[in-house]
Amino acid sequence: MGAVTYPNAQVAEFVSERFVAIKFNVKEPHPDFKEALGRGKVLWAPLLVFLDGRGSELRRYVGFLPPDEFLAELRLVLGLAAMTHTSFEEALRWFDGAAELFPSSSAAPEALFWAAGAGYRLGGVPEVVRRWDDLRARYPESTWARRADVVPDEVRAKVAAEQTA
Amino acid sequence: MTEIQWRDRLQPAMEEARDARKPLLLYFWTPE
Repeated sequence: MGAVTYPNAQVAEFVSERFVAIKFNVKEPHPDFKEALGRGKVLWAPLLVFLDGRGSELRRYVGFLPPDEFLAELRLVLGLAAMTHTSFEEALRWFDGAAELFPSSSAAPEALFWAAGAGYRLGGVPEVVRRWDDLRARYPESTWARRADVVPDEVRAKVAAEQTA
Repeated sequence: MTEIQWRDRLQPAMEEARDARKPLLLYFWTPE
């Protein structure tokens, strides 16, 4: 990350504009290390922990991310942060942006999964069905498509009937 | 060229994040 991803101009600009960043060398003592890590441990590095401004954990990621994957991941985090602020339209912009700008990233299907969550708060069940159907069509092999494979046929039929009425 | 400005301490960074409504990115790394 330090050699490839953080020096990337797009990454540096996006992080500087949208995040407050701290780094901890796990081999050196740091007075805030325990508080920053919370109840977890560093089993492998790099480890990224994202918190909101109140210290609540938004997300944890283990392993290297090349620039494009990282930029998608950051958008996903911003969407989750917006959801915690009940800014669901903003959350949708970040989730949809992650999938549109970085469609081959591992964060893209997850972003579409969460977009359904934000969509539910704005448009109810029909938005969830529409967005999860889109996720399952675009990323049928992803774990996120499997997680979204829970809408009963009768619910899907009811939504379709309401939309054509 | 922009470089990431890594903060030193957690509490001031949290205050900055709260005021700016930005998330915190905590990066744990090893030199290896």
